[in-house]
Amino acid sequence: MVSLSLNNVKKRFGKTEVLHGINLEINTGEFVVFVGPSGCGKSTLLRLIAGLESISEGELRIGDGRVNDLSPRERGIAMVFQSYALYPHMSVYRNMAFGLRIDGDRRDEIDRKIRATAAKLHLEPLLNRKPGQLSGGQRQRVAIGRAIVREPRVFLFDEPLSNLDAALRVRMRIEIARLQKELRTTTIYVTHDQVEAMTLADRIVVLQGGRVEQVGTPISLYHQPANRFVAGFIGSPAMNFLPATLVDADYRSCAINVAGHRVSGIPRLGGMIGQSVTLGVRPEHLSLEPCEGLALDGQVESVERLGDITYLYLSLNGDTENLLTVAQKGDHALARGAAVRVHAPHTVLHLFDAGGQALQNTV
Amino acid sequence: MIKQRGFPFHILVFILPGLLIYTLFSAWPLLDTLLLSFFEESGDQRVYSGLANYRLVLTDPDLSAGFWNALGNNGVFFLVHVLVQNPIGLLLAALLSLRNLRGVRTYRTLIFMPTLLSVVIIGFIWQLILSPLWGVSETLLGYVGLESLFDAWLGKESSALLTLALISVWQFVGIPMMLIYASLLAIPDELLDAAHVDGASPLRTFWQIKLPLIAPTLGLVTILTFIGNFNAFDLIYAVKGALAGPNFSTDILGTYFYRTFFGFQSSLGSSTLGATVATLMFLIILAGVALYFYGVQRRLQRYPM
Amino acid sequence: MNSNLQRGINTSLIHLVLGLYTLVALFPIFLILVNALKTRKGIFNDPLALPTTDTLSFEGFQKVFSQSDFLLYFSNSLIVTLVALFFVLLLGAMASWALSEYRFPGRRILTLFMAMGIMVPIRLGTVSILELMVSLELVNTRTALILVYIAQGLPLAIFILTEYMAQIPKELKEAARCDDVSEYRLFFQVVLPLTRPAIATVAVFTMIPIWNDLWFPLILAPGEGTRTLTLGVQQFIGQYVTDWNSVLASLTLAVIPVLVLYLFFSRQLIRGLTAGAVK
Repeated sequence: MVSLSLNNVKKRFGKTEVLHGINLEINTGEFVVFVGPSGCGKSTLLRLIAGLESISEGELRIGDGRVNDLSPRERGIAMVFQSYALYPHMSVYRNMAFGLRIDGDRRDEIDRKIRATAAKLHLEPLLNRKPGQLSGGQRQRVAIGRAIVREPRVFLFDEPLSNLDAALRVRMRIEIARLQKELRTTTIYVTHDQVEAMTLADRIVVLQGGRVEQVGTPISLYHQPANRFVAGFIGSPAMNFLPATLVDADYRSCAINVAGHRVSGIPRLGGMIGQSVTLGVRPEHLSLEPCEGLALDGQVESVERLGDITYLYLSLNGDTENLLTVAQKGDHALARGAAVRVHAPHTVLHLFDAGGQALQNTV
Repeated sequence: MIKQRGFPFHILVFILPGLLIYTLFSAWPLLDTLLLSFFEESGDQRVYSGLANYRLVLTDPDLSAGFWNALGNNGVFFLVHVLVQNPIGLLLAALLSLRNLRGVRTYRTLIFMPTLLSVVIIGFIWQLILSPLWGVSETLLGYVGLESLFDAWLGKESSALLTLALISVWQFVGIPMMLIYASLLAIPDELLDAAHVDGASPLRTFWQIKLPLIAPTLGLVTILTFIGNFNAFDLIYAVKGALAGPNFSTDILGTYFYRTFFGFQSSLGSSTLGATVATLMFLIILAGVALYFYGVQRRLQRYPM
Repeated sequence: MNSNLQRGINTSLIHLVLGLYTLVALFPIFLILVNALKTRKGIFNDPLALPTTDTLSFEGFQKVFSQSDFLLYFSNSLIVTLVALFFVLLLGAMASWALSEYRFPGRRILTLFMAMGIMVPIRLGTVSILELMVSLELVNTRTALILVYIAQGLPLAIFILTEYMAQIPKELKEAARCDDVSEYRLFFQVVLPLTRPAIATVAVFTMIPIWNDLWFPLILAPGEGTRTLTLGVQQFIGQYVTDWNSVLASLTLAVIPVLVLYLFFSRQLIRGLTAGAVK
């Protein structure tokens, strides 16, 4: 069941268009994460959905109705802000009650809802405190509580974890995931952190330059990026890109020339023989162990040993500007300058055309 | 090698010139004035007279009436500012700080303009405008059908003080407006977004979110108004002269101080009595400031935003 | 419901209120400027009209310039304001630097002592100031005014500049000290340039009350030769109170310089006002 849909939604500030026609459908109970580099329009899109910015063109529907002209309250959304935006002069209790009182709920009803929510988030001992007396993590939980208590149709999160330290961020991430599974409320979550996106999302929407680059489950984005941008954005360390030429192709497979090697049997099609393409291969898919498929000869320029994993940076054909990143499991003591050969199987190779689009597997 | 430092002469060089001028021409005269209020002139000599001057100013049947009258008038003058100037300043600031409003810069620049002009100039300008001779005010009131209300407000004992206070309000409304405007701008946008998402109307946001958050600034504006008002002189002097007529109905502490010090008409001025009045003004201002710091400011919590 | 329409109405209402108040704020000044350029008849027949060829007249201005030493008053005001301003900024910045940078015994008390001058109006010490000036033989000199105005301006200047200077990054000062720069050169060549924005704010706050003051010129320097513009206009109007042309012209002459300056510096001033209050 569709809970929220965007139909060719555009946003202009003056003459500058910052969102160029967004189309998206979000199902009831789904956890959707908007991710992208800063300035990609993800926060603006969230604010459009919240009703904090007006929609210049297109249609936004929540439930059955068009909500373009409705206020945030009428849309039935609740939002958690990056700075938490708790009212500093009100106690935690009053912060949570503020919206309910405006809704005109009865006093005992408000009290019941707040106590229930507080129990869920372990906020009971904090109810009479002011935000200034809370730690960062506590404020974050209050902000979430303030959103939950409204019992909204859609939760909106705007980079809610970016002001927390690393350890707390992991804990809150797990907490948010747990709550969402428990409440089954449709959730839209904006972040620039791809780990948050990968771990929280049912589906990820990758945005860039005010456009949707790809929508899909975290794993499908990882394995089948639709274009070079998504391929480079998802995954850490980022995917290696190498210039290549398509030299042969038949019904099932093709062959390319890359860095002086011919690689055949790549199960991808599309493109024309002689065409310049880009080969993409993730660092964690490259291995020192020989296997059928891609083989590259390089020279070790730099080694980072983390104990459980070793990062190698290789120059190919003496090119020290564009180093190839290799993530090798285990500890490897390789000397700088050593010549190595790395391998990757056919199945993990990605090909992109000159425009950056993935060459589709037509099999 | 750490250089062995001698006496830090540079600190003295930095601080002494300013400290000297401030002490000599501000702090010392103030202290001297306080001391002078315990002396009286006797021929060429000044002799210690204890609290005699205060008794004279505060309780003497002939002299004290002037002081109490001036104090009362000053109270009214201050009250008009608190009740008219600061609410108007708040209203203007609240409107100016609304998001996405065009022309804010022009409005605030123009509304602040009168504040920059000399009180003397402002006094004369309004004297002309309110003059029945010229008739500008009557004509303007006529446009809205109220010309019958017009009167020589500045000349009447019953309305002169109020009129002068309103002129002062007109001139200085820019200051509370700016201070409040700045503190409204300091409220984070996300907080107002949160209120909007919670369904709060602009009016409710103003009363329940913005106003409590700028309460410390409102307190500050009030105490600044207090200090300014109980130290005012120029406007009354420019419009009404040292006699603060009609019949002392516009006399405030500043003009009363001036007359006591320099004398007027037949009565001679007195340095020591002047000093006494100045000391009383000092004590009043001090009391106001103390009340603000210990009574008001403590309760008006400043919240980290 | 149509929320766009509602919003439009609200916005119009806000502009109406602000526009009306702007009119209230400007109208009296406008009235003076316009009528100063009219004949006596024009002033009284239709005060609200702009000058026409019939009513245009510079009679008042001629009178002001011939009957009073207007240019002298103006230059007195200018000298007193600028010299006092210069010393408030220089001495204020120096003292602020000492108070914010060096730890020495009595620093807190000294800071408090200077801050007192913000709350306690210097006017209350007038009796003693006058006696002091008499004994220094400075009555009826511009020097007397300048000294008093420096003392008046220093507390606020030091208050604002101390806060500002405390925020100058330590690294900048330490880098200079590592190069063995003397404390004086450090102040004049590193600190002072960095403090420029705050100094501009202080300048505006210091200048206006000095230029507009009536009290001290009246008491310390009422003589013809040292009269400031504000005092001069006040006395001129007292003398020619029924001569409307002259009165309006002298008011206009007193207003114009301030308006011109304001139009140049309004952005700076308002930024200073709003920035100072945020803290």
